[in-house]
Amino acid sequence: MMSMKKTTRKNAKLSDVAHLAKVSTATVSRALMLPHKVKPRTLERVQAAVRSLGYVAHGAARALASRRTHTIGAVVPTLDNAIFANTTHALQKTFDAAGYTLLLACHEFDAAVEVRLTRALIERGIDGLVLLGTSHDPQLYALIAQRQIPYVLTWALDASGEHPCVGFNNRAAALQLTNHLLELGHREFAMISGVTTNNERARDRLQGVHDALAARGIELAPERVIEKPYSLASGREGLRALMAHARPPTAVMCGNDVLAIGAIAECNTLGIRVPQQVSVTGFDDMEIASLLSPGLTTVHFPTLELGQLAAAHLLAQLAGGSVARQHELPVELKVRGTSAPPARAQLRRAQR
Amino acid sequence: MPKAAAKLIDVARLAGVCNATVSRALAREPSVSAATLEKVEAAARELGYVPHGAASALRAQRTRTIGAVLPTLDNLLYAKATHALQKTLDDSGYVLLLACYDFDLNNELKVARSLIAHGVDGLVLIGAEHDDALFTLLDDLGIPYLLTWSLDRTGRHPCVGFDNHVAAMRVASYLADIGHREIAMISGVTSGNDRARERLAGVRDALATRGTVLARVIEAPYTLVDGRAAMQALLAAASRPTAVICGNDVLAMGAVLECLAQEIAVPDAMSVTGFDDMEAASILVPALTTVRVPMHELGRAAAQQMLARIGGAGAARATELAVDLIVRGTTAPPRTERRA
Repeated sequence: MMSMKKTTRKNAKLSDVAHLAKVSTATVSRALMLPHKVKPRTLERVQAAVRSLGYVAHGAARALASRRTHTIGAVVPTLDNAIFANTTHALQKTFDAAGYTLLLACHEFDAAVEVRLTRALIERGIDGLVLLGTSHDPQLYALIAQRQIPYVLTWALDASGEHPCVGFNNRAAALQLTNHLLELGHREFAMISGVTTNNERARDRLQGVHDALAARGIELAPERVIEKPYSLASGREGLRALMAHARPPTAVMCGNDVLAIGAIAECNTLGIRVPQQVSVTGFDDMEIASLLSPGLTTVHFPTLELGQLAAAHLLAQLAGGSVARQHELPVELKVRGTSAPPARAQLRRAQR
Repeated sequence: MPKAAAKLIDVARLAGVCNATVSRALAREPSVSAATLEKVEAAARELGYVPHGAASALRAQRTRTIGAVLPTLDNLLYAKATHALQKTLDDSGYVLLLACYDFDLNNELKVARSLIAHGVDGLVLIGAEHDDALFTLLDDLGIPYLLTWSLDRTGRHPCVGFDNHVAAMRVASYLADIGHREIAMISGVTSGNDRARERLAGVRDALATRGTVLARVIEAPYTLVDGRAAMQALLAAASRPTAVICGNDVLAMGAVLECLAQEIAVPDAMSVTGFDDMEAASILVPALTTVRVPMHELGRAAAQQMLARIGGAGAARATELAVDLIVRGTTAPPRTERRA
């Protein structure tokens, strides 16, 4: 008898609930997923039927039972950047494997929109939150603290040590890359940086370049730094502007691979040979960086691993386990074909 | 209870806006700002004003959230259109929440349920092929939805898209016109993906009308690495094609990169075409011949139609957008043709 009853319970269908509650299956669906759209009396009947049959259909019903939504929210700057897409894809895969759905929202680099989106996600019910970067509106942190939502910051490391994070040391990555170019003999540097407002990744990369050059007594003049949104078109524009200077740089460092690939495309258009006439570098090591010819010299950021580890970090928090507050992922310099010693004539000019 | 039936003009006066704005606000027209909408709604509530069409809109608890379910986040395939969708919704005070299903329709049903359970006023789907259970669910719950990127052949579902079949026919016809007879295709995975299937069928149909058959088809996921591997297989075959049509730009870029790696001149020894006209396709040397999909327009039109549907307006059921063949540097007549 017991086992038979168990089987019955397991096999209860939506139509069984509808039959018992004397409503249509559409009403059962509505009651389970959009309870506020159903009359209280009907809702009560459906819920009683669900309980008596032990009906467990899907996420919504489970959420009603456990108060857990099995949903994680992620607020990212944009989808329009392959590198973020990469990490977010890995996040989603890892959460999916653990039975969680990832809901995503994009703030398009607007701090106020980020607060609004995060609030919307939290109000809808999420078990945890993934944010990108460490620069956020204080309101955002206040909101998270008030609602006690488990969260993890990604991509950067939090200098304050207050927030759980899984990320990279962007400044150290920039130091490594700049030192590589210095060792090749470059002295005339320029940078096409990402927009640094509300973006500590871009800021740390620029700072790393400044610091590495300063250590050799080289100043990166303000007119040699151009801030641009991350796009191929920006890389093209930046390169064109920098090479129009009376004394063009021998090395153009770009805030990410997208800018670098745009800059190289513009060199091709202008008939400037890379790396013979100018070295160009990126950051991130997107898939295409190694497939281009010449291959792009850049810094490899293990972005898939970042997504997996960030998801694991949050899942561990949700399981009540103890997790390291900060997790730094190592980055790796990738020297390929777009960096070479500056031409001798350029060196002489620089020394004059 | 209101004393006398409130009129539109009463709502306008209380909200401090003109009559036309009240009409537009209650019809949820995207041109009305969120602040104005709020003012008008508050006034309508206070006066108990109930216009015919918008009655249900006022009763229902709006979340001002739209959900979109994407096949993948990888390779920026849907990034531009989603970006435009988001921008347009944001201008009307709506939040866009995204979920992704990795080209697995069972998974799509699951993530769509999750979005619905979190409260969305409408749902944007990609493509025309979905689990029937998803359509049933949306109908049962009365949630407005919209198909994008494809045209619905059944005529049952509202959609904003373009004709993938016709677009692919144009690519294949063009290659045939410049003399190619040995044409192969690196297609996207067609299972569960009507866009990929229609593109493949379009190529087949165009070649059939010219008495040619597609020499070979390799299905590959939309990644650079898979595009390269597929081109490698085509190049290793005893009889090589003179032109390869790729299911999208990512596959085409991978294919061109493989040709470069093997020192096979594009387009002299091999013509390659893409589909979508992603920004990245322009960085290849030579630049990619492809089909331009108006991704920005697609996203914006989808947002507008979704907002109109939520507002109960009789929105167009099918909006077809135009696509263009963009001939650039990766296509040329085959060598034999030029010698002759």
